[in-house]
Amino acid sequence: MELLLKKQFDKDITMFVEHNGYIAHPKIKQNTIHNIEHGTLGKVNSIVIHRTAASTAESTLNTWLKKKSGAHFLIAKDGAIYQTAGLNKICWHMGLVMSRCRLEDKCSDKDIKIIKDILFGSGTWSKKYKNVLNLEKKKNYPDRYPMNSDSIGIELVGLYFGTGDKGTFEILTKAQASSFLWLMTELLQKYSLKIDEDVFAHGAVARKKIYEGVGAFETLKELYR
Amino acid sequence: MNKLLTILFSLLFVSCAVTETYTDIVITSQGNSLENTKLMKEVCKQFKLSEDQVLSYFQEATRTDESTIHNQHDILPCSSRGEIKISGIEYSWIIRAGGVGEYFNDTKKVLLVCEDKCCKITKGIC
Repeated sequence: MELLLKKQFDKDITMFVEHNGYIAHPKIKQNTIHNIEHGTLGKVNSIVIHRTAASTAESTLNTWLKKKSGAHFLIAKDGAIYQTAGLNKICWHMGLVMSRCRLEDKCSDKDIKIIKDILFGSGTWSKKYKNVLNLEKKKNYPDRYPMNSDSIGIELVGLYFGTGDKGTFEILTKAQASSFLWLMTELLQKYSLKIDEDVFAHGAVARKKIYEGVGAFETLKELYR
Repeated sequence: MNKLLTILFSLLFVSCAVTETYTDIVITSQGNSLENTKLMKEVCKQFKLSEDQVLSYFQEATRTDESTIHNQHDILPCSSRGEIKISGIEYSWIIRAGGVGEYFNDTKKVLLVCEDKCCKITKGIC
């Protein structure tokens, strides 16, 4: 499968980003959803991989039409790539980002004290974790995980299986994996990002289902090498 | 005449509406942490629910689906678990800090979310 995908990729032309932040390429369907675009996206430091927890691209596109959160790209099971927001626009796709220094055991004593004061302090649970996020927002990448303000979000259609928070997501279809590899290769090149340092599974860095994007990221890494 | 018919139909609708009953609430574990770190395990020990809170949660939370949770809600790491009978049928449940929860058995899974009104009534969950 890897060789097949590489061969197909080699034949492809390089994507071109227009001034409005949209990609002009036959592989990409422009499907702008203005209500998920929020302000200007400056320097792109990272790419975040999401799973929709839905069975079709259409259901996710319809949901985004009615909401403010969404991602820049949506990849359907048949491999169709929808660009739903300009690459120069911020999308709200991250949610409650976790503290990177805490998870990687690199926090200063001061940081740890602030985090403990927040989490053991008063207020609602949601407010406490929001305050940890606000603390992270003051840091610069890569001292923190990606934020909406400096990352591109890619959603891959796929259901969530299981109860609780440790369930898994649908395995990518071949067509989905192929499109995902192509898009990621182009974006990594465009923004000079490294797959091992600047790409993240959503569930690994934010308060979501812990395996969200993890399997898709593993598939990507296998195909990319 | 029309007014009378409207009232009669409304009364008929209300009497036919299905109301679920929540009984036999058992809390099997409290203050669980999804995250396997010393700090979060300590933090989550604070998340303890009473049976009254669990009952209020089931009475006030609204049904949702995985896609909506993914798009609109966060999964905080602290949770409590237990069992409940809903209209006579046994289920296991999970209620998470922040208000996202679920009940399930071998054949059914229902996702729940506690929003503004629910959060006000079930103090300590959101």
